[in-house]
Amino acid sequence: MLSRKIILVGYIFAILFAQRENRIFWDGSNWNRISTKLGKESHSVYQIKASHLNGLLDGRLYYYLKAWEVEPLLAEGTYNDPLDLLRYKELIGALDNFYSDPKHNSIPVISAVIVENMRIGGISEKAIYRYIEETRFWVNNIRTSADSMSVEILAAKLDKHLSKPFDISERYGRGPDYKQKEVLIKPRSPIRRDEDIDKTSWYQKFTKGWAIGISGGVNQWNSKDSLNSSGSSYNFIIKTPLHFRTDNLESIIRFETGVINFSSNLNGQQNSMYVQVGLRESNIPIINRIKFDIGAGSVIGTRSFSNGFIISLRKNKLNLITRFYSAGTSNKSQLPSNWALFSIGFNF
Amino acid sequence: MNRILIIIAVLIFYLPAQQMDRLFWNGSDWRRIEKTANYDPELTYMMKVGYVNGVLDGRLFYYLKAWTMEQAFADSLYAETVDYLSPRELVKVLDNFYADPINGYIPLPSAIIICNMFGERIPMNKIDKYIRHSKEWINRMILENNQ
Repeated sequence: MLSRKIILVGYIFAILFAQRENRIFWDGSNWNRISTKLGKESHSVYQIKASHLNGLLDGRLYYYLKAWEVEPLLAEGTYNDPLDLLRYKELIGALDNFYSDPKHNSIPVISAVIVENMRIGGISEKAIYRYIEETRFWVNNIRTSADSMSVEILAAKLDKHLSKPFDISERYGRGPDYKQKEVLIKPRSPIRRDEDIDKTSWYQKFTKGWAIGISGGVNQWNSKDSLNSSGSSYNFIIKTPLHFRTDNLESIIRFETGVINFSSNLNGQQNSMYVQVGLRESNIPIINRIKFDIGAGSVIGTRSFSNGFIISLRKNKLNLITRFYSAGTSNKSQLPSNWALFSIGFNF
Repeated sequence: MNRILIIIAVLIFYLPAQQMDRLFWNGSDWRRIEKTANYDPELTYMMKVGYVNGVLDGRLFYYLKAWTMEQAFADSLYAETVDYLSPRELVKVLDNFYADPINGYIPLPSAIIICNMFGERIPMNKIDKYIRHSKEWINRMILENNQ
């Protein structure tokens, strides 16, 4: 006998919780519960109700504007409900009055707002009554089908979750041969549309990626060399569109051509290709501004290799370049074997 | 003296004009809720959750309405995930999001989508892109509204 009572009480609880879960919109019972919880005279009641109404109107306006950008005519047709004929204070009073009738409890707040605006807009009571009855019908319809819908939504959510890169299916007892069911309601990421817009063909990227710049600086001989003096260099920079970028890593390929002078009256052409590699999205900001630089080319007709680093003083505009060069020594050219170059580069 | 009066008058006219330019609640409104609620945590939470529920209800109502008119259009317009986080989680994530002043002028409906993207663990570069897009969008809307 006792166990039967416990089962009955459990059943009632289950039904009540299920009812709460299946409520889709804020309705009369939510509206009235605010006053019950905080006291009818409390100013806080007004503040919470006003917040909710603000949210409703913001949610509507946001999607109206989004829809209007895509399909103006359809947006005008969908969002043509009168919602702004009453001020908040008047609207809250009117809604309090509307929900004082318990048979309106199942009407969503947003529909009640439309009803009150219709009333103030001079729409006949007969039409308003019809609107309320229609609303009651579709809300009840949705609520009754919510049980079956929620199962589908849960299944869709589970499938979506399992389709993520980390596979937890085995942990939950589904073997590796588990086949995903077709997702009925598949939420899509909002940026997917943006990706389509941003899709540019390879030749567009190729023509867009070029940039030029200049750099100038001083050379300092390695003290081990017999020639211990300094010089200068001026380069014209061509940045290629060969930029490779991941979430954490970035690399750029560029060419530099220009003039290099040494104080021993040795001067001539310098051509090199450089690969610059750096980290992105690091928590330490200075690291995002540093790139390692590896280069190969020729200096005054002699093969040269360089390595160094570049610090961006202003991202993609102004760089401080430090390079350590090593060139094949040649008695004829009297080039030092190693030297350091300090220069500043501007990119346009 | 006259100059001071003119400056005060300009400020008085200018400040409400700035207020009028705002189309949606944004970070400053969200942060102001706490002050409006007299720093009562329960009331603050109820106001915030009331607003969030309002946005979601407004969205769902017009999604259903649009869906009856043009299904494909409604599905594409309302494709974002906004129900990944529960309202309580959403309020918390929105608090964190608006704690950064740089996000202050992003509209709350956009912030709700962004917070759900955080919850879904969408890559940060995509979220940053969406934030930038939202900023550009709201700036464009305000400019068009002014015109």
